[in-house]
Amino acid sequence: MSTTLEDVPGNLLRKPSGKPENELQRTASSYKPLHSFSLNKEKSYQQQFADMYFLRLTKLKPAVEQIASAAWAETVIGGEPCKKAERVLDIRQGELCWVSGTVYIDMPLKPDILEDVSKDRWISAPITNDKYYSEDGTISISLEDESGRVPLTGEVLKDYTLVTGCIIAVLGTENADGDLEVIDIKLPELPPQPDRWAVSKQQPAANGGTAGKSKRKVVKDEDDDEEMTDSQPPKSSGGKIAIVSGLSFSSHDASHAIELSLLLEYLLGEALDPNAQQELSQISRLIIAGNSISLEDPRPVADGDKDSKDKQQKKYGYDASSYNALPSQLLDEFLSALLPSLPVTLLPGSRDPANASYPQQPIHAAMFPKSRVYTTVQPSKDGSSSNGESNWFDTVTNPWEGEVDGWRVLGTGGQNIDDIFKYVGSDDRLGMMECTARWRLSAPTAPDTLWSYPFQDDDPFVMQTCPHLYFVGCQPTFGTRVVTGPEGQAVRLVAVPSFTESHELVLVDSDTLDVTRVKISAV
Amino acid sequence: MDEYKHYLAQKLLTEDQVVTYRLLSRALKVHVNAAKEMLFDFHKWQNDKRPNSLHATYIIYGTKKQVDEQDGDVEMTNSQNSEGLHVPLSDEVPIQTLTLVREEHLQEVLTQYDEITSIHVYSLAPHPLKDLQLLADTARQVLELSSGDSTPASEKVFGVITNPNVRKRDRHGPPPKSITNAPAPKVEPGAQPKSEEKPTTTVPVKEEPKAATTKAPTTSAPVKKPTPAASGKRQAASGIGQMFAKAAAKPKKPAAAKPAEEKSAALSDDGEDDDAEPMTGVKQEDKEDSNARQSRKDRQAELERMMDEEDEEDDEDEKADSPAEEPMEEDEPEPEPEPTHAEKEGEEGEEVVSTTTGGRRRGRRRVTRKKQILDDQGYLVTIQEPGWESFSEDEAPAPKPQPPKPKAAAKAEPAAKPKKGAAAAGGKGGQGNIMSFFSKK
Repeated sequence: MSTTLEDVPGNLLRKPSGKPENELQRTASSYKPLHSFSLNKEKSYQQQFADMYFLRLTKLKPAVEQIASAAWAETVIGGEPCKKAERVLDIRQGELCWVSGTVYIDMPLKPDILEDVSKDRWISAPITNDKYYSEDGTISISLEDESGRVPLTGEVLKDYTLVTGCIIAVLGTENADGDLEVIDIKLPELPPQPDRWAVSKQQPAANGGTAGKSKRKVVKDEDDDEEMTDSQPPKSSGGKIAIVSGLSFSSHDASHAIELSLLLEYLLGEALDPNAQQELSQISRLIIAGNSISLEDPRPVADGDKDSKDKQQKKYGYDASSYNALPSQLLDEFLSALLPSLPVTLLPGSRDPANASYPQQPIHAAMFPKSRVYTTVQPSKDGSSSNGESNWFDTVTNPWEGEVDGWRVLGTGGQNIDDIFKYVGSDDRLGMMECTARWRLSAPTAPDTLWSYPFQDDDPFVMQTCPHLYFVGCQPTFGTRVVTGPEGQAVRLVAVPSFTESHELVLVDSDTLDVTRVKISAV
Repeated sequence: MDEYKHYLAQKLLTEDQVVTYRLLSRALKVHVNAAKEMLFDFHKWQNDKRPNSLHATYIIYGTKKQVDEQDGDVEMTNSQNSEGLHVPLSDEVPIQTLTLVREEHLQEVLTQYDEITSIHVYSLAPHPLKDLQLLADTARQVLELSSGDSTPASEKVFGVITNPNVRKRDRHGPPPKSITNAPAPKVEPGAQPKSEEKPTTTVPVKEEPKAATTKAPTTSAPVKKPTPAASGKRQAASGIGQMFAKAAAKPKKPAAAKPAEEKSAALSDDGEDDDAEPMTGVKQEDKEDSNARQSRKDRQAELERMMDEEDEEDDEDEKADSPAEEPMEEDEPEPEPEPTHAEKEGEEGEEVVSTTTGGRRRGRRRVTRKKQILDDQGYLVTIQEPGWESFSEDEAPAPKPQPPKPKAAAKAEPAAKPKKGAAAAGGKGGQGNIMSFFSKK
C-alpha cells in the first residue's frame, strides 16, 4: 500500500505557483532559568568532599525517615517490633531496627583512591573503567552515616538499584557477621513538586513550593491553568520544546554534516511544506543537552571524563598548536543561524569546552563570537541572582534547572546517568533516571566517581523540587516515561539520544509534556 | 518567471554545481517554498528535454511504518542486555521521519512511509550524488551567503520562521574572524569621514552641515589616538627610516621630488598616508631648511596638545590654535610615530573645514592646518616656523597642498588595498577634501 504522491498533502512537486507565502511567527517561549548549579567565580578547592555527604545526609534524612517511619512504625516481624536506630552505630545485633544513611558501594573495578595510594599507583591519568559492575557479584554495599558504616546483605538489595551516595533507609537485623540483613528499603521518593508557573508567579511566596509541602497536586494541568488565569503568568502557547544532544560538530568527521544541516533547516522552518512549517513554528525553544562539539583526535583531554569513549584522550599536556577551532566555529555558525528565529539553551556535556567536574559551568560566550550577541544578560558574579530577564542564547550549567513554559525542567548532559550506568548491570537509562528522581539526587555518584566541585555549604545535587520534565542528554537510545510519586508528582523523563548516532530530535509539547521524536536521515 | 531557469541552467549545466532550494532561494531572493517548486519545475523541464541530465534529491517527511523500526530497537536492547525484565522501558511515542533521499531511491523510501506529510525537491545536481554529505558543502555556502545579510527582513523573504521576541545586544562585537587590529580602525574611519563630509558633501549626510565646522575637529581629534595605536610599531620603525631618509634627502634638496619618493618607499609599510606625506612635504621642503628634531618636537607637542585639549580644541581651535601651538612646539620630544598620523588626519580634517566653510574664521584655522602639514613634513623632513607664517597668511597655498593628497590617497587605495585604519583614514580624508573643494562655493 505504497503511498501515491498525489495523496501527499504537502506536495511541493509542482510548478511554481507564485502564490504568496504566509509569514510564520514562532511561538513565544516563556523561560526562567534557575541558577541552582552556578558556582561562585572565585571558588575554592581547598575543602574536603566529606561536607557534601554530610549535607546530603542532613538534607535527605528527614525525608527518608518520614517515609520509613510511616511504613515501618507499626511493623512487627516475628513478634518483634521494629525500632528506629538513630545512628548506624546504634544498631544492636539481633535486634530488628531500621536506620537511614548514605549508601557506599565498593566494587572491584571501581576506582579507589586508597587503593591507588597503597599500591603506589601514581599514574597521571585516572583509569576510567566503562563499567564498575561485574557479573561475579563481588559487590559490597554498606550504609554509612557520620558515626560509622555497616555492611548490608540480603536478597532485597538486588531488587533495588543502589549507587554510592544515595540516601536510603533500611529495615533489618544485624547478623552474626556484623552485616545488616536487609528486609526492606525505603527511598526518599520524589521531592515536592511545584505547581506549574511557580517561578513565574513567584511574588506570592506561598506558591514557592520549594520548602513547603503545602500543596502538591500535579498533572492537573487544567486546574493549574485555571488557577493561573487569575494571576498573570503567561498562558501556555501550545508550543513545543525541542531537545537535542550530541550534535558533535567536528572538523574531520563529516559523516553527519548533512543531517546537521537538515536539522538547521528543519528548526528554521525552511524545509518541508507550508503546513508542516506551520507546525515547526510551534517549536519555541531549542535545548542542546551536551556534547555539541566533537572531540578532535589531537585534542588531549586531561579531565578524563568518565564516559569518554576515545582511548587516545588520556594524556596530559596541552599543545596549543593542536587546537582546532573549527568545531566550535561550526557550532557557532549553526547557532547564529538559528538564533534569529529560535531561542537556544545550551548545556555543556562531557566533551564540551567547560570544566570537567560537576556541575559544569556554562560554556563561555567567547566560544561563540557570532552567537554571543544574543546573550544580553551579564552573569552576576556568583551567577545566582540574575533574575528577571533571561538570555536569548543561554549557555547554562550542566545539571540545569529552569522553568520553561511554566514547567519545572531539570536537565543534564548525561554524565550523571552515565556514571550510574557503570554501577549497575542494566541498560535501562530511564530506570536510572527514575532512581535519581526517587533518591532526590540528580548526581548521586558525585563526588565519589563523578567528579564534582567540593561543595561546602550546600549540596546542589539534592533535588529540592520535583521537576515536571527531566531530560538527560547524550544517551545511547531514546526513551521516555512518566514516573509518579506518592504525593501525585509526575515527572516526564526523557533520555535524549546523541544526534551523531541517532539523528534524532525530541519535541516536548509544552502543554501536555507529550513527547514526539523527529528522525532525520539521509539515504 | 524564467529567471530561475536561467540561473539554474547556469549553475547546474554550465558551472556544474549542486543547487539546493536554500541556495536558490538566497540567490534569487525568493521564498524557500517557491525555490522548491522552481527546482522541481526545472528538473522536470530539463529531464524532459534530455532525460537523466539532472539528478534530484528529495525530502520526505512523515511517519514511517513502525515495523522495521521497532524490531531493530528491541533487538538491540536484547542483545546488549540479557535481562528482558524491563519490557516497557519507554513509552511509545510518535516518530516523524525526515528523509533526504536520492531520486534513485525515492520509490523505495516512499514505500517505507506510512504517511507522508510533505515532500519536496531538496537539491538538483548534474550528476548523481555519490555521498549526500556533499550537500553539506552547499549548505555551508548558504550559511555564508546569508550571514552577510541576515536581517529579519531578508529572512521573511526566504521563509524563515521569524521570532518577534528576539533579544539581541545592540552593540555588535567586532566581526569574529577579522584581525584583531582591524576592528578599531574600521570604526574610527567610519566616524571620521562623516565628520569631514559634513561641511562639504551634501549627498550622503544632509543634516550634518548644520553641525558646522566645529564638529569636524572634534571627531578628527579622537581619531588620532587610536590609529597610531593600531599601527604604532610599524610607524616607529618607519620613523627611524625617515630619519635616515631625511639625512639622505637633505643634501639633494634641489632634487627634492626624487628623494621624497624614496622616502615614501621606505615608509610604505605605513600605508598610503606615507604617500600623501611626501607629496605635500616635498613642496614645502624646498622652501625651507630646518632640522628634524625641531619638527619632531613640534609634532609631539602638537599631538600632546591635541590629546589634552581635544575638547577645548574643538571649541576653540578656530580662534586660539595658532597662538597656542607655537609655544607648545618647544615641549619635550616624544615617540614619533603617533604625531605623524595624528597630524595628518588632523590636517585633513581641518583643511576640509577651512576650505569648505571658507568663512571668516577659517583663516585662523588654516593656520593650524598649515602647522599640521608642517608637522607632516617634520615627520618626513623638517618643519620651520616661517612656513607656518606663510601658510597662515596665504589662503591659497593651503588648498594647493591639499589636492595632491586626495589623489595620493585615491591612488593608493586601489593599488594596495588598505590594510589598516591609517590607510582607510587617509583615503577618506582625501575624499573629504575633494568634497570640500567643490562645495566650497
